Amino acid sequence: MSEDKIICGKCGKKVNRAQYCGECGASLDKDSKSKDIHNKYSIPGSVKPSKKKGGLKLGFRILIFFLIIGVVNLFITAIVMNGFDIPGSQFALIFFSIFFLTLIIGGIVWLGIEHPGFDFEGASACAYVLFAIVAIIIAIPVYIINAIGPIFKAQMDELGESISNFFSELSEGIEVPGFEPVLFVTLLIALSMFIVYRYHLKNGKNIILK
Amino acid sequence: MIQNHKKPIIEFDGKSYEFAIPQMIVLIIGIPLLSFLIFLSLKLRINYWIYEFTANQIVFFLNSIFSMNSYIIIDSQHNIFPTIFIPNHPSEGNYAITPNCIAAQVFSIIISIIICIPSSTTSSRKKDFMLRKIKSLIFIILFLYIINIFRIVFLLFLNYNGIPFDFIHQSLFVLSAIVGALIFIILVQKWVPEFFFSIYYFYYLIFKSKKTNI
Repeated sequence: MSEDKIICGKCGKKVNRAQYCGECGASLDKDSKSKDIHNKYSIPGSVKPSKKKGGLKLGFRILIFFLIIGVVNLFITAIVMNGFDIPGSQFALIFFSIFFLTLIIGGIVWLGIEHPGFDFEGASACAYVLFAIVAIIIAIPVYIINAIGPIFKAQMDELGESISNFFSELSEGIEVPGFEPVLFVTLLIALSMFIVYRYHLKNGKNIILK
Repeated sequence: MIQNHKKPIIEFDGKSYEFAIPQMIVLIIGIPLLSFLIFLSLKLRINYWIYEFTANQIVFFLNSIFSMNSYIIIDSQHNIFPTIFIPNHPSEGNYAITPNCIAAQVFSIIISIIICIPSSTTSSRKKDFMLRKIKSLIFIILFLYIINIFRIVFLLFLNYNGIPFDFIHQSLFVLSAIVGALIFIILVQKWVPEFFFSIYYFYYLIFKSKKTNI
């Protein structure tokens, strides 16, 4: 009987021979890539990575993300307060366009600054990329739509009307909830998928079959 | 099909996670069903105190921060939601506090998600599971309630100052939904990560069963 029991390296209790400790859940497999491997083979006197530092950094990133959302929202609201007429129904579209554009531009600038060899050449390369984003992704499609729009106005209107009719027929008799729950649930699903995928990347090879 | 397979264990940050199939079924069916029931219960006359409570908070902040002299009109005889009245308003100045205003759908979804999160069958994460669940439920509801209160306070204040109601309604909707969803995800990931692990576990079970069937 005693051979079937082993001592858990983490909590020190006698547990059944298995891949995981029944008391604390730590891995009992000597070859497994657990966190304890760093403790077993670490050089004496070496500095362990601080958990608190990483947490603060993550908190800082989250704060910046919240700030971007707030600033973009306030920016659009300020435009309306100063007399620019934006229809209420188009707010979400404008908001997400500016929001994602801010994120992309902010991300490129951040990446550039974080790079160890960031200098004048790097800054100018960053500026070229930003210019390319604004020109290729936004300005050229807008210009083409504006240029082609009047020529094919009748066809475009007809197409728009038929798409609108299709969706209105599809949702006929279905009570669509308010905008907020739909947006909230969409965001929840998107963020959950993102987190699950992150787990998958980090942990994909650590799934053990019992 | 799934029962014939070996059960997977997810190891993350030195902790192991394993879920039972019935719990997964409760998670998938329970969330929409429970959220629908909670939403229906929030519309019952017996729960009108929530609307009145929310309206009281809004009026308190409107009067104390912006000195707007607003007050609540409550009809106890009929099934009418409480109304906030703001004197000297450019338009009518009446705002009914409805289920949409108190974000009833969002709260129903959040409560049902947290209730239906399955616990890991390994003892390491099972010990304080209920405590973590209750903690996350209280804090998430509290955070979202505060966000929603201030959303309505600023909505009424900005509308009072001449910004079109439709526009500011959409603007604050988007802002509060994004901030609310982020807070929810951050707190759930911190206190009850079983939610994400159970989704991953479910995906893994389906993926493996499909792979072996081929």
